[in-house]
Amino acid sequence: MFGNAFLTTLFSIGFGLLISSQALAQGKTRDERIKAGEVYINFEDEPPSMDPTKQADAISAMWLGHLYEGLIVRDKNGKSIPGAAERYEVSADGKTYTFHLRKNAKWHDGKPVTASDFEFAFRRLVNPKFGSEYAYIAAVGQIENAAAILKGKKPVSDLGARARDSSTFEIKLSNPVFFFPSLMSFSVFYPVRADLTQKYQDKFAANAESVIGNGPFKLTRWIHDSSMRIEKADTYWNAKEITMNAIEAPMMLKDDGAAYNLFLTGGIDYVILDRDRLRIAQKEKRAIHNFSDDSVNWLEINHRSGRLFQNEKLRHALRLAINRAELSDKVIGIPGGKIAFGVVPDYMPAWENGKTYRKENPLNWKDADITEAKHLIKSYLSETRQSKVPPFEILGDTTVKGKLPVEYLQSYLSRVFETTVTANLVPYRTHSQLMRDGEFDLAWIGWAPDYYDSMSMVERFLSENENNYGNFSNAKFDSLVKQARTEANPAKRTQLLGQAEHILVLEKAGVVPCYQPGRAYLISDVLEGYVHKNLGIDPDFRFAKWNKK
Amino acid sequence: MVLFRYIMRRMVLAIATIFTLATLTFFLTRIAPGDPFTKTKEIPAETMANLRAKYGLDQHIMVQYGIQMKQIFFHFDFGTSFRTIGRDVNTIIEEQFPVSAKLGVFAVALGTIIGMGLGIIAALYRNSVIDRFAMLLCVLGLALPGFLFSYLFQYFIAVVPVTQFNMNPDTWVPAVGWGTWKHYLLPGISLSLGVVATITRMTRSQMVDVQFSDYVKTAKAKGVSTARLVVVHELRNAILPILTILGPLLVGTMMGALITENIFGIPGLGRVILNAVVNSDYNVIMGVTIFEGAFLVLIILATDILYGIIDPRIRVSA
Repeated sequence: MFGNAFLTTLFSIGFGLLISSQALAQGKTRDERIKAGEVYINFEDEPPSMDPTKQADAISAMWLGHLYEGLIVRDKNGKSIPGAAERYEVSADGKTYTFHLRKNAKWHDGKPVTASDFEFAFRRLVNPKFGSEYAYIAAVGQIENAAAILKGKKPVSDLGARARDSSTFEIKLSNPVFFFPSLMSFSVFYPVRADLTQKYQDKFAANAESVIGNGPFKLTRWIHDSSMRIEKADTYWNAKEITMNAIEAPMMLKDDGAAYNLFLTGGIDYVILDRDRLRIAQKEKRAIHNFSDDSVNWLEINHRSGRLFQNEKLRHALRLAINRAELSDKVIGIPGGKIAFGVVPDYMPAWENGKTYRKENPLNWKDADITEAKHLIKSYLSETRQSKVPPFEILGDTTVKGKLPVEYLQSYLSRVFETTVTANLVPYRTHSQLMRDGEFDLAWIGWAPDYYDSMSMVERFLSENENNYGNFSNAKFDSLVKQARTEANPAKRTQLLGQAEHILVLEKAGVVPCYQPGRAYLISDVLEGYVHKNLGIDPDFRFAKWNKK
Repeated sequence: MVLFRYIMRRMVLAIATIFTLATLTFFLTRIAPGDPFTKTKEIPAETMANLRAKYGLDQHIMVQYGIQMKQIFFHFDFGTSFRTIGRDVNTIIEEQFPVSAKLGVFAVALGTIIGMGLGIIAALYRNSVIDRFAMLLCVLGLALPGFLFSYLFQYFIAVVPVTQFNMNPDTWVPAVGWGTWKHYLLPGISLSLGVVATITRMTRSQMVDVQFSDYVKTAKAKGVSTARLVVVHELRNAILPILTILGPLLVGTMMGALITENIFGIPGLGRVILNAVVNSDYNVIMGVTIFEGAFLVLIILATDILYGIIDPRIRVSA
């Protein structure tokens, strides 16, 4: 009968599928991993792009950082040291960098790394047709003509980055840039092979065989949405320093609980803890490690006309009232988190004898000064002849990181300002869009620098900056930041930026910095040499090793 | 001829359904604020314009709609992902669907076997403690979401024995992952509970229905043994409606596996669609929605046609 035949077919297809279960390579146990020198980790997702010039997210940056090497790399301590370049010279005016490539720098297929590989990558980055999200970083680094090329006003070949010969790469800048060497360790400046992009076209870097790097590891497996594996590359010039034989993400777990359970049952060696898992781990008395994130969280203030916090007194009341210690320790409560009074995170360098920006420009006041805040609110009320502060809204996103502080601030600020405060919690993308459209009074937002310099944070508040969602505008601030851009003396420059930040945060209360997030994690107790880094490759397993004692 | 016309009419309806689904999906994804390139940080205007132009997002929305519909219905091509650069949506479905399908087939097969057994027992001992217990299970299975069981099973079956009772994690049931037969167990069982509930209830009510029919009475009067009565006389008649819901049940289980797939880290279509929604990855949302929708429509269509062949009365009323 036809009906029976159909059902039989359906079932045999079904069970056929079940039995022919594609044999995914099965992972090693922890003991086997230690013996083989391999480390297993989890990432919640696929890297969106393994094309270094297109990289725009942390997961891709981590994998690419192990697979590729820029002219400069950052060592275990975050210091910039020569990578694919053996050494470099800077001209007296600080505007010309000449990089000399290592003679023994090789691609994973054995071909030598040449200056034209870098020239190709740099030109690809600024090509408007290519559409790299981080293309503007070439203009931030002030590479000659980069800005004009990005706007389509000059041809790509005018870029001030050229191969002098096969092993000499020269970069001309329009102004001296202190952080230029550290910028060269950023993945969009990694070399790219023209022949591979030719060969694979649109599929370049979309699968394992088209990813050929020049770094300490090579990509040996990439099963989309499932697993990735990189293995030590013998072609790497410094292969003897690399102790780990392989790094693998055996699966891509989005669920924090699943990743935690996988760690407990020995499936991975490193796991980041979300808030719930942190509480469980604390209860179970596990050895919890932590680090500070590279971002700063703040309350963005909407300075547009008609918005409540256009009033400076109320802004200062807000700045003074916030209880940063309570927010950081009690409400968020993740070890490694720190309170923040400024917009520049505490690890930013001052480019002078190992000094940090924050040490040179200290910024703080009495935290949770409610008396003074109430005083300011009172004076605002009498000035405007009102009996009560009008209600206002705090915009936040629906992730735990976004929700928790906003809900806390909602109740806290409604008590201080004695008015109705609403929390507008929306999905992440809507949050971004509402900020852009200026549809908020206050917004909770985390901001990370794009490059390793305090300028990356401060310049966001320039009147014309497209990321200045609150429309903060101050002529003196703008002129100080612009002065700093061309200042050749590092001490003077740090001072200028410090003055600008002082106006932004303390004098005008243009933004209210609150918190530098912390992150907690568990790691196998016999795994050593893992490095967490602010900006760049994170986590960095290049120098990790098993302590086999 | 009547049959042919009936089939043609159903086919046209099926295509219209998929077309409506595609249209709704297209416009609903576009209504949500932001597009695949919206990020917290503003991408410079020139770069944004270049990106939009490259992916055709700079064109008028109706033009985009026309192009995509043409691609889908004439070339069966859903385009490339906006998120994983260079990956075709067709490839994504080809690679991830078999995983979801295998898990779905396993869960439905397991659920059907258990459910039918439980249903028969419940029907035979109607209103007894066993029956009440089975019905309680059904209510729980239908009322509680499958992912709740996923979390519970993962923690109490896979994690606790390893962390509290020193079971060897390499031989015990794995907490997460995919690849060996052991990986089917926990997600498969938690997904099968909903199936068990549905099948048990159906089997029970079908069995109870036929228990009072004349031919069963006749068989009993003839002195047929209980086992023979159940298997040959009752179950055979009760089984047809169950077979017809298996298809839709399979599709439902596969689509509903979204969160379970995430909990157990299973690389199926569930995590693909979840990622796509979070990232406004238009083409992937469209591809997976149309694929799963078409799959469901096809299975219902096949069931209807088979019904039409078996029972001509349905053709007339359709």
